[in-house]
Amino acid sequence: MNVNSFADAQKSHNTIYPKFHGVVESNEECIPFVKLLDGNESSEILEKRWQLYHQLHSTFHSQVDDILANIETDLKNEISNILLNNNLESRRGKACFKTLFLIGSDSTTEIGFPNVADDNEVNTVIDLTPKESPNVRMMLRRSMFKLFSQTDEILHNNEQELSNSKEITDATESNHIDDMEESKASATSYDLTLVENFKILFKRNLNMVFNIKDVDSFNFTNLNDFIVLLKSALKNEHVRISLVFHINTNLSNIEQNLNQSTLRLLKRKYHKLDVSSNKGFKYGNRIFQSFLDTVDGKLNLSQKFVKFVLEKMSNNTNHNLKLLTRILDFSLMSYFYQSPFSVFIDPVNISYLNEEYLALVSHCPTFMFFIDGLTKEEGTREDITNLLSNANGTLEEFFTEFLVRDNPINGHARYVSNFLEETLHITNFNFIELYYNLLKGTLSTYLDKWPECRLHEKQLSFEPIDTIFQELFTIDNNTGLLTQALFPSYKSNLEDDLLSWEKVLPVSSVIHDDSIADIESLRVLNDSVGPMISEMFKLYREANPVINIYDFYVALRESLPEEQIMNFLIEQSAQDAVLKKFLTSSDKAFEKTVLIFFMQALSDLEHIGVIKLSTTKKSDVVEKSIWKGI
Amino acid sequence: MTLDIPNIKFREYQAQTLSSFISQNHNHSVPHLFLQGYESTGKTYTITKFFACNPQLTSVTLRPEESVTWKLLIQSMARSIQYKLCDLYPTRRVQLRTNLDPLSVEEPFHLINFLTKMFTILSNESRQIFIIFDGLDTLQDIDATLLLKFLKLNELLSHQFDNFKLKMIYLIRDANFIARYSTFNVPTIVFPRYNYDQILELLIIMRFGDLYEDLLTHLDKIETKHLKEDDNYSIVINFITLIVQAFQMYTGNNINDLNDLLDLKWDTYLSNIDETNYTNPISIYKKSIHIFNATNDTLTADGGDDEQEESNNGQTYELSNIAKYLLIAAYFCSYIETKYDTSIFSRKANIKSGRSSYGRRKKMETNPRHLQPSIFQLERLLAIFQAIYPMESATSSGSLQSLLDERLMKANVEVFQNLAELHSLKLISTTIVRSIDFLSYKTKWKVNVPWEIIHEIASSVDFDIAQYFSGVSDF
Repeated sequence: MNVNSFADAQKSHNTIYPKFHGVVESNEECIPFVKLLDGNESSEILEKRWQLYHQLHSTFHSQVDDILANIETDLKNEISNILLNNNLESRRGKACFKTLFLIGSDSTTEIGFPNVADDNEVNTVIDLTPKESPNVRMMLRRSMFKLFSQTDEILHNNEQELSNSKEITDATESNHIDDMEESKASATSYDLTLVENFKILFKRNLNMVFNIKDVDSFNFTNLNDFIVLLKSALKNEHVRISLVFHINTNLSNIEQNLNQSTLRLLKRKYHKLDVSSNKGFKYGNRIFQSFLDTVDGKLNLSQKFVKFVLEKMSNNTNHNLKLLTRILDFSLMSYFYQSPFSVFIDPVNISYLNEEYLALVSHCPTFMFFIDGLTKEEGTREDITNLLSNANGTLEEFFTEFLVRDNPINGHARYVSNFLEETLHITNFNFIELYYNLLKGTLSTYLDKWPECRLHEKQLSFEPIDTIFQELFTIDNNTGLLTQALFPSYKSNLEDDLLSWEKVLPVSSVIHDDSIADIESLRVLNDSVGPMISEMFKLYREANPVINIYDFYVALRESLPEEQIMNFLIEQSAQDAVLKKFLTSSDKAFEKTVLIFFMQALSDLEHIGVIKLSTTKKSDVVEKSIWKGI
Repeated sequence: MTLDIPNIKFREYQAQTLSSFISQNHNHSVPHLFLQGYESTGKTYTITKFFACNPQLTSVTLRPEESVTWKLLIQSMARSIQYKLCDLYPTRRVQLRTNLDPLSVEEPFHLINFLTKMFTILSNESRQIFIIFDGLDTLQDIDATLLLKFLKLNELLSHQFDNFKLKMIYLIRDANFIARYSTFNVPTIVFPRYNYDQILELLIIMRFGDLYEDLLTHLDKIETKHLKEDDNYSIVINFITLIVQAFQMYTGNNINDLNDLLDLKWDTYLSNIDETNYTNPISIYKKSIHIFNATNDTLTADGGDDEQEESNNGQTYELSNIAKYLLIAAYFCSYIETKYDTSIFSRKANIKSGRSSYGRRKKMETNPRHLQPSIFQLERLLAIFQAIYPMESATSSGSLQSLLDERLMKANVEVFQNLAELHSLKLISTTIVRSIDFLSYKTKWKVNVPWEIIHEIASSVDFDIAQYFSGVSDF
């Protein structure tokens, strides 16, 4: 056994990547879709459907990427605007910090300065993390070290630029630089004197930005003392200090932990910026809008589906946008996967319309409702039968006619949102909620939030109407597929899978593996017993909260088919000397085999967190630790 | 030759005393001097004024607060003296610089070497240098021995050098600090706190100028006809008086704090002055009464509108509903004993209730909420969460559709996401800190939130949390 495999054997778990043995025809593109219409769909249409999906998916994603990239740049601009804007100098000339609170920040937001070479000022960003700040002394030392190294770098670059442009040969000047270097080296002590003497050392003003990350995890006494310490650096005229706090809880939490006098100090010139992208609806609105645009206004979203999106977004406060994109993505995929009519989203494909589709079309509820209306009114008998039987292609024409129509809801939603933004300058509306209310027909109640809207009630009002065939082009969550796939309840799934393993593992009769099929006894064994862990779990489920370990073993032994197992072992032992020895050496071979199974399954169960192995007190029982149904 | 005594308001006595301890003749000045007085009692101001008035005295000011550690303090002491001497004797500058690096001063004996070397270079000069430690007890890692080192340092040096004398002046806030060194007989000048009248007068002297300027520009803006100067004066003085009257109870006689408050409130006060009320101080006061009611030292108060919006979304503390209910459940887990769980949370009617289920009940002597949170297992949290989380059913009860509805909240991925969020916000925590296996049964949890916050969170979702505790103990 080599070292690697020994190390592998010590691991508590391994990841196994299945190897693919099948023959791959590399020239054929693999389409993960299956043929719909009971398998009668032609492969040409299948391919079209796949291409269409692929195309929509990539357009949607490129738009989402753009939107997300904009968030970053928007934010960066805003931050550096605040930090570099000197117009807001305190009127009374009293030196104070410029403070910026980034609320909802995950501390990854970078603070950057525009890369403009300024001969009078050095901009430095000093990062502080809770780990690096065990006490004020270390905080000071670290930050001064960073200040020095950054300044050195900046100046060094500048000097290089200078020497590239102008060749400095003047002896006196180089002397002067030497002198400066010397004094620099002698005076570099990593405390506030560096800041104090900055002007003398580097002949520049200093703009320091302290980027305090993950403020919530700081020791607040230290942070408070450090801020007070920095205060004394403010008395130097050449120094400006900005403090950026990354806060991921809320502001009042920070407030409560700092001294009142420190707070007053920070309050003199401060800005708040909410950087969590889920704050406000701006970006969520844009993503949803771009989704509606992607499907060309053809696809409908059902009321249930939009409600589902809204609900799930409110349940997840921090990764809203990711979640929204994921839901929309998955729903689009599942729609194209399951709906044969999805191919007609692109009207060009109407040529593929055939009897199979039309048979389904005529069963559409909206269509039947329409026919119903026709019979009650003065529709002629001939018209109706023509439509129903597609005589002379009437139904086909009818269907095509509706296909090219735009979805009025999408259009109106867009109109309302534009109207709100451009005419009334309302930006804090949730477009998804607006869309939901549009579908419900309660748009006016939603718009009542903004009193300005009452004046334009007529322009904004909208009556939802049922379009014929709309159910064919609707993304819905009525089967609960999205809920199951995106938000699985992992504990109950685990239980279910353990109980009915056939659902997740292939049954032996399905496997056409030659190596297994050869051995008759193995096939019999596979038919009679499932994976050991699920056999154990069945027993476990019926047991009391505390299980005697011996009883557990006996119960397992009794439940296993002795005959089949022994048959298999005996057959195998023909080729395996060790196994043969094991079988013949004792008459309790079966008990021993079961014991091996039992120990394996027991540690498996422990590992997935279903049982507690005994504590030191009682070693003869295991405790159940899973609570059913939660 | 006598020293000039600066005229400092309310500190005449202290300045006088200083002049009797400090003299141009080094034999007449004391080697060590304590100036004791609490924050903002004018120590620094007085001593700076004193030396500014008497430029013939050489002084070096150190701010121990900035040095953080005593190593850095003695380093900066060495450096400051070196710089001072370089300035005083420009001809000896090169000599004083070479081989004398203040950074090498890391221990008190280095400092002595350093000073000895410098004084030897300048052996034919003579001078006394006053070293002012501005707030020695504000040094972060102050200990009892540091001052002893300085006291000894002086002895060692004065023994060697007759020409150079170091005189130390320590500005100290805490009277207890001085009490430790009472056996050294160091003279102490005490700076008592200013009283109310003195504060008012000082603030008016300090701040009148710039506030008055502000007022004039403001009055120009609102286009009033100019008042008599006296009336304008009275507006400013009135404001300062009001602030002092309103907040002196809160800040104590601390000029700095009152000064801050003046700055923070002045703009609002100014904006309340308009053409209708500028002649009437009472109506100005009435209009701006809210600024005198509270210190408003919060960063959030300004954005009052934003917060209202937040509460509309039900996003207090930026938590989702699931996270809020999880936190409430975690609070229950930590503060309600396990034995009461069945009777409090179970919806089953046939469970034995009352005494038979958990034995004889004794009223607890202490409120469990005053104790540390007890630890619990994740499964219990999820079970209680399931019991308290309200599931709204869209279908009418009794219909076939309602059979498909899930009655109870199952712990799906969302729940675990929110749990992870709560954990990273440190609202709930685990007993082990490092390498946590979150799903392992060995991991124990506890809630990390006080009653006030959980009450606020619970009320934001209309959950009457107090009711759950009423049976357990008196509140």
